[in-house]
Amino acid sequence: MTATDPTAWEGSLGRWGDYDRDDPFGLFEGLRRAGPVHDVTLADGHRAFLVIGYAAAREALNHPDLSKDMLSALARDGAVVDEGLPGPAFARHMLSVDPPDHTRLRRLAAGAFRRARLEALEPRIRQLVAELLDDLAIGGVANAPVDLVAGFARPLPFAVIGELLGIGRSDQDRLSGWFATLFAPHTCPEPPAEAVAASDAIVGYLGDLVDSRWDAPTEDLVGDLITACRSAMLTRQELLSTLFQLIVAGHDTTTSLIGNGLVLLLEHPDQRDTLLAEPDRVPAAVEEMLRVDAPVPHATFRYALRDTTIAGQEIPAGVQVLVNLAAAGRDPGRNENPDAFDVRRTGAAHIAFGHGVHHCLGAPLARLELQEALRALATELPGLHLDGDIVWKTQMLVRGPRSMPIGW
Amino acid sequence: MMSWDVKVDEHTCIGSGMCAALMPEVFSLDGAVAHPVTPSVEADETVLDVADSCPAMAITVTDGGREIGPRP
Repeated sequence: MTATDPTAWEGSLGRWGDYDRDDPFGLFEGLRRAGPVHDVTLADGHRAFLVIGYAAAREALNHPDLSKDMLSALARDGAVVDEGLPGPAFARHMLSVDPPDHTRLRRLAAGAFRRARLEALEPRIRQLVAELLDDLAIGGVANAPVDLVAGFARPLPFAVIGELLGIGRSDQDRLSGWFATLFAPHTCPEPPAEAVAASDAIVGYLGDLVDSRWDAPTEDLVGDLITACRSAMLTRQELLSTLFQLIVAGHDTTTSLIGNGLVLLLEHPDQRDTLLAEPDRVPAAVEEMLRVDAPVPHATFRYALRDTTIAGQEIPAGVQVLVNLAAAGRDPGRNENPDAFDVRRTGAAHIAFGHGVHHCLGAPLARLELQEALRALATELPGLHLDGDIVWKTQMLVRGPRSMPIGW
Repeated sequence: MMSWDVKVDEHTCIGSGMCAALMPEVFSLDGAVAHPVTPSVEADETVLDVADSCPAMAITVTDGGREIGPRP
């Protein structure tokens, strides 16, 4: 069977997510060519309609009949989606509600991501990058490979979100460990005991964090949100949900963005030479990395509120809609020669940060982190190279290297 | 009634759809980039939110020639 045969994907679609993480793009493109909407079964057994292709994905992400309201979905007795950890009490943040709650919750967190605040953060990010690279060089045994994910791509975003929330290094390490355990893939339907324990630890930590700062809010995003909560602009449940979501959205996604970007760069030495010679191209290179290898290949939870139509296909009420973001950047209808990684490309069209009201709030910060990483790695470690096999993550929502041995 | 002027820089806009989704009565996204439906809008903090939220910082809101959005 060939990639253009629409029936070629029936086996793969039995359980969506059961595909090769090393390179899912052949599957994505074949599926896109077969049609924009596919009826699939998710790993947990729920039915979903997978929407794929640039235009169809944008239509779905802005569709008025699709909702992100997790509590209303859960109220349908598990027919739409299962409760995940830490449970419904932590599902009242901007990514699991619809407007007008979404508008209010996003506004309260948005101040931290405005231009002036990010410009103020930029030197600190540069310093964190330099410190991590120093640690890598010191920690590396002569002639032995070092893992660029564990030593750089993972700690950098956590340190940056720590800066935003006023959470120090030792607490960052504890939180990072708990989140890694919470989101580790598991095969049984029920979450394993260690995931439940990690979830409880995070819930306890965030509650203590808010309590300890309640009477004297700090000058950071936690303080902003506590002040808003004290003025009844959001509930304590929404405050804790928002903190949880900011940490989740702020670290593993960016770790994968940095990881995917560095894999692309190290696998294309000619492109790296171009960046070394023309550092002004770093921002365009970041867009190209987002286009070619979106760190979040599928958008987060959505479901159909009523019987509706997306890209000409009927979708029944109460069913999840899974929007593929990664294939959109490689849609030949939108980008010429889409599989080629080219840092000289202008106008790279992608929806790696989503589309519509839920477009990633942290996008400018994620871009900044990868830009600083590329500037530092390209200039300070000119001999940087892959030194062993990359192991890819197996989660469905985030694609990126789990480990990436390097030498220099 | 107080009114503000709204502009979208077509060269900076990346077509994220944020503005059109948040305020369809003020912004539309038909092609690759967004446009204001009307150059002048009633003063409303949501317009400033939209200007702040634009991932490309392509939206400018002015009040009698004075730039008030995006906020710093």
